[in-house]
Amino acid sequence: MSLLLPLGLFALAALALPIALHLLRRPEDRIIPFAAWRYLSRESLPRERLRIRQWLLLLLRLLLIAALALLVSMPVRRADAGSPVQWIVVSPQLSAQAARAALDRPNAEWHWLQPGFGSLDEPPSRAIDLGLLRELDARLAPTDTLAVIVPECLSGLDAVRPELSRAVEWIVVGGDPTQAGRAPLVVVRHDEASAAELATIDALRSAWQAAGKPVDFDIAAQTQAIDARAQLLVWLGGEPSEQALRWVREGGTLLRSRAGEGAWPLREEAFGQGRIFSITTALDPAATPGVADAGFAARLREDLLRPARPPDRADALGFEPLRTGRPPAPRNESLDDWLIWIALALFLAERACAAWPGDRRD
Amino acid sequence: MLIPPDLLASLAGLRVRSRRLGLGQGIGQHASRGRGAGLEFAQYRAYEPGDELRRIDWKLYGRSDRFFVRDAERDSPLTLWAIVDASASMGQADTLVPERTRLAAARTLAACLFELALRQSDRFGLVLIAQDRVFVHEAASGRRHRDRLHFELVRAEAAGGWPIEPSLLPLWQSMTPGAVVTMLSDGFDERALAFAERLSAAGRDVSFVRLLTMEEREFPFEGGPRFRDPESAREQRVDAARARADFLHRFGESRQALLARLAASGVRACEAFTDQPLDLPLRRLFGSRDSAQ
Repeated sequence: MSLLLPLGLFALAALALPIALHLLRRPEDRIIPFAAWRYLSRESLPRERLRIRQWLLLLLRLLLIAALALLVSMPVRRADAGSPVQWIVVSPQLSAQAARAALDRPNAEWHWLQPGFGSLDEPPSRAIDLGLLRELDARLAPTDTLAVIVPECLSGLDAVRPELSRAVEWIVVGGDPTQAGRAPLVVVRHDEASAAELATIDALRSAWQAAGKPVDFDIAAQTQAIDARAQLLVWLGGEPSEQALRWVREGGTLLRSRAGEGAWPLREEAFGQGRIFSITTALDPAATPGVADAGFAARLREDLLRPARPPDRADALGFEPLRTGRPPAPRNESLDDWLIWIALALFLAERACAAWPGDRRD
Repeated sequence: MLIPPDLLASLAGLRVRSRRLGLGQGIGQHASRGRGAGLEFAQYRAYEPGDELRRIDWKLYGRSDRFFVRDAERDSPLTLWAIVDASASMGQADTLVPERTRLAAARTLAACLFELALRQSDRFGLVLIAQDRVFVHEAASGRRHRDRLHFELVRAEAAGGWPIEPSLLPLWQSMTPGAVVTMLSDGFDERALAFAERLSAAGRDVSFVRLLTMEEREFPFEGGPRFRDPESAREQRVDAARARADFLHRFGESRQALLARLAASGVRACEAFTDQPLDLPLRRLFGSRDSAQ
């Protein structure tokens, strides 16, 4: 057992308080000047019983204060390891099927390398953060094994290679088309009255194709789901769905037409980690004359399709985590619950002892 | 205010009288009653222990088979003395009312006696026993003298014990035989009692008021306090609840014994408690004969 906050032991100085109180109460000094004192018979006080109860009370109070002081010091115990577990984390840049195909470990725990380490059976969110490997390394027992499945082109890096206390299995899955080479994906969701706007979208696609920067489009009704790897979401008419808003909040870009409030020229509004551009009119030249401008397509591509994240890609083969000689961070189990129950029991015992009907005079 | 107004008002009917025959001024050295002028019959009153046997009317006894004493019309001028014991034990008071000490009651009683003497145009004097010494203020009459004695009373503090024998010698000269002497004390000092008895045996009309606190009468204490003797500073820790019955019994016996002993010596004795009105002891000592007791 060790203490997370050893300075909290200074709270033990409060032990002096009950001792001082008991010492001060000892001389129950009522001195009564009494001229007829010689007529008082020499009866002994029933002090023996009183003394024992007072000592017991003092002991209970000291123990209670010691328990509280220990609580302040946050005692922890080295947690037991348990049986070794095999963990496999997959970068959300890959798909679940590709990951399972790359490694066949039926008894392992499959998780996404994302905050919360969700199970592989659930769809991942947009967050990509390789630094979570450090957290996982600290969380797992020293006897657990860890395998990491990443694509060839890693994203979500910070400036330092992760240094872990264990050796990880670093599995690079190639062959999956990486994001760098792929064309950006624009997801368009429209309602029924968007015929003119869809024509504008078509025109944008042709313009970008002609400029040598092809863009993939996914055009569907608003009830369709949204691919998480999209770069831009265009919402034509109506309120964006919950999934769309969640996607934007995690770092996506949304362009809304026929919105409640908006501005022209396009103005960026932050929404969580993403951005929203709204216009109040329809996205066609009749309603919004600026759409027919010569440089509109190019400007749109530059402003809206630039990635919201700063460049952070690296080659996966060169980014395998290092193993340091440092011992793994200790996994501690807090003893707070035990101490709280002990302190409660001591408190009740002390109150019961103090309130016990007895010779409590003076 | 030494005497509260209601107490002053209740003194209205009291008269201080001597049970003995006064020698008077200028009537010669013989105390015999039958000769000489100045002693006229006033009334008969019932005999009280301590009255001189000479004053009993034997003819009336022959007729009625009861003892009656003749009272004289023109009393010889009376000298009233108050002996206030201001030893350390007189500073004791009830725990709940610490300003109501025995000495405070003694002061009030002495002031009442002076008041009565003033009304009767008699002379009065004060003896203060404090700090192991004796302070005598000679008898005189008049309001100024009363105010002087009030001042001395108020100044007195409870301290010390009973003085040594030689200090008491001046008293024998000041308190002439026939004087009415009232001793206000707590009765715990044997020497005070002995002195009162000697005074009474030597021809003074001595009364003794024993001043006690309510706690000495009831012993209402709880717990285990320490009781300290004010004059010797000796202490005793006692379990109050268990010691109560025994204390009341033993102290009660000693109280009765003291009163009996003083009465046997011719001293009019009564007890006064600090929580009771102070005209009670005065009535008991000096009240009208039918209301005595």
